[in-house]
This record gives sequence, C-alpha cells and structure tokens, in this order.
Amino acid sequence: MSVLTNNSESESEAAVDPIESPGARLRKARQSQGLDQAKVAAQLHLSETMIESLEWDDFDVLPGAVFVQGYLRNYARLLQLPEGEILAAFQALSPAQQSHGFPNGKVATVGKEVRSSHGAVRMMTWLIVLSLLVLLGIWWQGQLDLRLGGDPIGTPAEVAPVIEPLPEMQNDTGVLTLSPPPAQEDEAPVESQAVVADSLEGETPSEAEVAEVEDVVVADQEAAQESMAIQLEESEADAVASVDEPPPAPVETPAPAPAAPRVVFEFSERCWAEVRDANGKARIFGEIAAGTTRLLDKGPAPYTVVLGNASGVSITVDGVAYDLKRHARANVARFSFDPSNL
Amino acid sequence: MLFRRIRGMFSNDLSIDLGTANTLIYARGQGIVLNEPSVVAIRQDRGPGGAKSVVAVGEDAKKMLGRTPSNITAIRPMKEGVIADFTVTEKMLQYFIHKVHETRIIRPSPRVLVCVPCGSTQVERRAIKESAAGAGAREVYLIEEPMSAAIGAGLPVDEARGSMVLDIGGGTSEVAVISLNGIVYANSVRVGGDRFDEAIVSYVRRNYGTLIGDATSERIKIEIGSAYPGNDVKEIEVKGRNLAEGIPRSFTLNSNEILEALQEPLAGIVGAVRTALEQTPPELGADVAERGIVLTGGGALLKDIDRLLQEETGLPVIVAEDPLTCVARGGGRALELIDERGGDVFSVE
Repeated sequence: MSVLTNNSESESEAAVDPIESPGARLRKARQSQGLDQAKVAAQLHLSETMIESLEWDDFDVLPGAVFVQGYLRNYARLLQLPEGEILAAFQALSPAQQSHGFPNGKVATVGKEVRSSHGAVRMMTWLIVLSLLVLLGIWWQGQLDLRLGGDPIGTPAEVAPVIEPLPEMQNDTGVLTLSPPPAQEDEAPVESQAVVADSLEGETPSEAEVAEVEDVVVADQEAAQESMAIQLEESEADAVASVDEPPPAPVETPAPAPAAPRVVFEFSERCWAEVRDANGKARIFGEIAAGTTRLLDKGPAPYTVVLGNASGVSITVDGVAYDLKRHARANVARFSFDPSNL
Repeated sequence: MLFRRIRGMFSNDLSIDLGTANTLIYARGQGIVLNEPSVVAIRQDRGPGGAKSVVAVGEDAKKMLGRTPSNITAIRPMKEGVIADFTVTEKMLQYFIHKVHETRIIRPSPRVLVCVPCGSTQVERRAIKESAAGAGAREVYLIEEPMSAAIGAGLPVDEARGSMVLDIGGGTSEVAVISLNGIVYANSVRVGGDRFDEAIVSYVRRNYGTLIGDATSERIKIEIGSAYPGNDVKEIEVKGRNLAEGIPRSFTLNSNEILEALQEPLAGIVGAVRTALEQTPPELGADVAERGIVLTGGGALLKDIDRLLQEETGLPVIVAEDPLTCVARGGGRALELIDERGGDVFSVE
C-alpha cells in the first residue's frame, strides 16, 4: 500500500468516525502490521470485498450479525487485537444488527411478555380454580341430596297419598288404645283424644263429641265379632251417624283396606319387588321369578312399592290395569299408592 | 391429566439440552437456568437387592466421579448422546426440573423440549421422551440437536439459504446443513469432548507411563488443549500414578503434546465435515462456502478448533457466541416459535 492511499484512508476515517469503529480499528492494525486486504482475505478464507466491507463497517452487504461477529473475531485474532473490544464496538455501533436473526433469547424476551408465572395471571388462575372447586362442591352437594331423598323431591304428586292416610292410622291407633278401658276413661286421655280429633277436623267438639267417639268404639267392638261386610256397613253407618270425621278411621284396624280393591301383581319377567304396607311391613319382598302372580291383600292401605324391572310387572286393581310407566325411571319404579284412592 | 394441566400453569416451558457431559436447561423468558454435569451418584444399600438411593446429582456428583467408596457409584447416565441408563436419567431429569422450579409449592409439570442427536434411533428417542415424561413433563417435544444449535447460534434457518452448523458435544459431534427450517443433510459422529479426554489419558499413559483420571485429563484439555499449532506454548503440571513404580508422580505437559494427543479424534471431526460438504447439494454448498461454517457446543471452546477446520476445508469458520448454551437456547427459541406458528415449523416430534 502506498503512503498516499494510507493518508487518504486515515483522513476519511477521521472525517466519518470520530469514535473508533471496529472496522477502523482493524484497518489501522492491519496497516500497521503491513498486511494488505488480499492477504488477510486469504488467511480468513473470505473474499476481499467482504474484508473491505468489514473495514468500512458496511455490514449490510455481509450475511448476518452472527457471521459478522464471527468474522470480526477471527480478524481481530489474526491481528492479535483484543476480540472482546472489537465485538463490543460492533455491538455499540449496530444494536439493530445485533438483534437481527435470533440472538440470545435471554436478552430478547426477558420480562416483555406476561407469562404464566406473572403475579396477576397467577392470582386470576387461583381465583378461577377456587371458584370452579366451589361450584363443583355445590353441584356435588345437590347430587348427594337428590340421591338420598330422591323420591320426595322427584315426584311430589306421590307425596300426597303417603301423607294423607297417616292421620287415619293415628286415629286408628288412638281408637285402639282408647278402646280397652272404655269404662275407666278419665279426663286426660279423652282430652287428648279430643285434641287429636280437633286437629283432624278443625272443628271444636266438646264433651258430647267425646261421648260419640266412645260410642263409636263400642260399636266397633261389637262389629269386630261380626262379618266384615256387615262391619263395614255398620261402621260406615256409625260414622255417618256420629261425626263428620273420616269414616274409615275409627273402623276396624286393617280389615277394610285389603277387602276393598283386589290388587294383583303379575310378573312377566324376573323382577326385584319390595312392597311395604303403611306400617312398613314387607308384603312382597325379594326377587320374584317370571310368571308369578301375587295377590296383595294384607296390610293397611298406602303401599310403598319398589320394582326393579318395572316393564316386567303389571299391576291390576280390581281387574283394572294400573299405569306403572309414569313411576318408572330407568325401568325402576318407586312409588306408593293406595288402591282404594285410585 | 387435568391436574397436570393445572400444574402446568405454574410451570415454565423448558428446553433441555440433555448432553452426555452437561445438561442445560433454558426456561422461557428466563434464559439458561441450569448448567450442570450429567452425573448422578447412587448409593446401593448393603446386601443383595438392597435399595438404591440417589446421593447427589450434577456438580456434586461430578466431584465424586472416580472418588467413591464401594457402596456409592457416580455414573453418567448418558453415553454418546443417548440414554445408557433409563431409570437414572429419569431421576436426574426429575431432579433438574424440580431444581429449576425450586420455589414453587405445586409440583411442576412443564412443557419440555428435549434435544436429541440426529443419529439417534427411534428407540433411543422414545427412551428420552419417556424419561422426560416420567420426570414430570406435561408434553415432550423432541428436536434434532443441529437444528436447535443453529437456531441458538442465530443462523437464519428460515431462509432459503444453506447454513452449515457443527455442534461438538460431549459424546457426539453433529454436522448439518439447514435451509428453510429443515435439515437438508445431517450426520452424527461419535466423537466429542469425552473422546478428547480419553485420547489425552491414553497419550499420557503411552508416553509418560502414568495413569491419570478423567477429571484431570479434562482439566488438561480445558487449560492447555488446542487443535491447531500456535505461537505460544503453554504448560501444565499434573499428577498421576506411575505405572512402573505404582506411586503418584507429578510431571509437566505442554500444549504441543496435547495437540498431538488430540489428532485422532480431531481427524474424525474434520472427516465428518468433509463428508458433509461432499454430500451437500451444490447450491447450498455455495451458500456455505460464501458464509462459512458455524461451530457450537462445548467442543467449539477448544482453542483454535475453528482455525483447524478453516485450514482443512478452506472455508470461513466462526464460533457462535456462547457456544456451550447454543443448543439449549435454540430449543427455547424453537418452543416460542412452535407457540407462534404451530408445531410443524420444525421437524419436531
């Protein structure tokens, strides 16, 4: 290289770059060591134009930041310049170039995006998770209730017949306890009886009514010795004659209920059946084989029925088919019914 | 499954460079969070069939290598880039993943991208996948190491231009030509840092009649090893057991001797690069010739290895910035790209 070109280069450099750029430093070092671009290019296995671009900081014509850094490092090492300084100068000169491509992800991405570890995101997640758990709990509770007390909630229509006959039964038992000592009756039981009657009728009976009740009891005792039909007639007549209170109540214990309608269970298929009477006593219980016919003629009236295979069973009340389908849920029928109130 | 997903919300996406020598973990948005040797120390309880328990993992376990009593074994569960001991690898990964999420109350269940050597078989890949899943990962992606290394080095992998990357790891060296987000050519040779260490051990035994350990030979390689004759000659004093006397002796090695010792493994790497250049389609070869070969991996830190390759191939060779972490960083970047553009951006499995 001639002195002239050297001068021109240094002048232009001074004009362009008051702060030393990596290219300028390399160029100076190369010149001071008396190397020319061709020799450097041969040693670095790069083309001369690339060396020139490096020396003039013209990085646009060079491949990418990664390659430029590599070339600069190699060049610096060749000239025994500190690599770190040259690279630092390059980075200071072209931060844009540096971020070109995919450089250190750690520099590029830290703290910019809202990550799942971010406080707010985490708080929201916890809230969502908690609310979901609470909802799940509520739903579960609901499921549990439904399973435990399934019937009353499920079929409110059936509740009425179950509850309705209860007063009759109470009345029945009440009458029975009263009946053994009809003569010794003192004020207290009578009063209590009156109260029961009160609550049942909603009227205000007095002594007279108590007497009537006693009459009924006496009549009952008599009736018990006679046939059932007569009993019925008598008791009904008594009831009509004596009070407005529901006539079958004071009537004989279980007798009238089964006598009235004839309830027949016909099992066309094998089926689990559980039929309990009003006292909770099992009348039909167990797995019944196909082709069996059972007559339900015992126990007080409202029966609680569970049929495991409702489609395989038909119920007839006095020869009239009873509709099981409305009770069947998934082929399991749970219901209670009173044959006389159908 | 649901719980894994919920736990996943509290875990970072991880890119794991499961290397033979070192395991690096890059957490999304945090950078390199773990860089530890892939070593596990295991204690075997007395008696036949005694219970095994992990004593130490990583740096602590590496210190134990070659210094353990009979009931403890310090092992490297990875050999030549693939799993040699499945259970221990799983334990190690579990430990590392947990370590990265140390402060969390909930057991982490991150999405994990693991880098595998391009020469690994389906069985080996499956083993890595299973072991990462066993270590608690919610989803496991696999990416080929050279691709990850190229992304980590900042090469324009998505351009229609050939980029050649040479990743010198602990167990394997991988050379690949990448264009349009795909690997055009890849080859893996089972030469890496470990082979350098072995070469030094056998050189010292042959020429000095002295036995040195792996740790010592690694120290020699790091301190005075070089791949190309330089102007300055460095020396190091080492101690080893003299085979003839059976007594530990101290002696001095210089960098030229180490250069000589490393000739064989280095020739293997140079050969792989030459083959790659031969096999590369001409257009891509031209791109590589114009811009050069990029070196990544721990092996790229060997002094003057770029000059050796430069002289041998006549092409410009550059060492990527922070070559040791390129693969892990590239994996992290790949995870981000998968999220941005969908799973089929790279040949991820």
